[in-house]
Amino acid sequence: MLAGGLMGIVALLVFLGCAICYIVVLIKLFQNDGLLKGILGIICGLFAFIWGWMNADRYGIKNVMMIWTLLIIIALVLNFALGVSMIPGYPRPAPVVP
Amino acid sequence: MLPQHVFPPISPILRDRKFTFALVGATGLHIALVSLNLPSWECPIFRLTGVPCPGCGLSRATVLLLKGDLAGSFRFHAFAPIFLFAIGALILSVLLPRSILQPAIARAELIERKTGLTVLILGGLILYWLARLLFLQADFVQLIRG
Repeated sequence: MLAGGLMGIVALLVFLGCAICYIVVLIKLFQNDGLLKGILGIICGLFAFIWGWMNADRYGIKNVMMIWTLLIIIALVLNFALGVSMIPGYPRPAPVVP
Repeated sequence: MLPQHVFPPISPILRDRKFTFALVGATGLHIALVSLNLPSWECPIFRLTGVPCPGCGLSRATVLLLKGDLAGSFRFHAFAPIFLFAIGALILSVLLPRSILQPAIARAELIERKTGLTVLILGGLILYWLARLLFLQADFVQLIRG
């Protein structure tokens, strides 16, 4: 129960960090590459992620991209190994009842 | 003609091979993980707000389309065929030699500038998303949550 609560807090922090990094990259995308690519970045987060890495040096967002990547890896590990979904209300694995 | 400073065309993306290669690789990996029901990229907007973004459901719709389940694909996202076409264009831009690619991209850019096709598609996508949110919100959210 306690471990589950702790994981929930970790997941919340990871998802907040991801969201902040994503918003920073989206702002750069809209500012530098126009409206259409910005909308594309909203529709396809992967596009924003790849664009962010490709332009990390040019727009000085390398640290943001490194943090974002690290957080994504942590999220995937949490999701894969522990079944912790970061989407509120997402179905959790049912507890095993003997 | 659309104001180019507001709506610069997006087909020049295809000229950047490094970018398209990375995008094709990441998208391919994502689609493969989704088709295997393994954890993959989660939509940051849906994670943050609990409200699906305009692109939510596209990956699953594309996987279903690739499996030949047209009805299932349409239920998840009606724009899956366009998304699949875009992935195809990205793959071709990675594989084709520059001598064939450059004129094709120039033509695509010209069509985009003259017709505003990208604006129409993205505008249509936003309207489709708004309609789903306004009229089918509960079903839409449930469908995306899985």
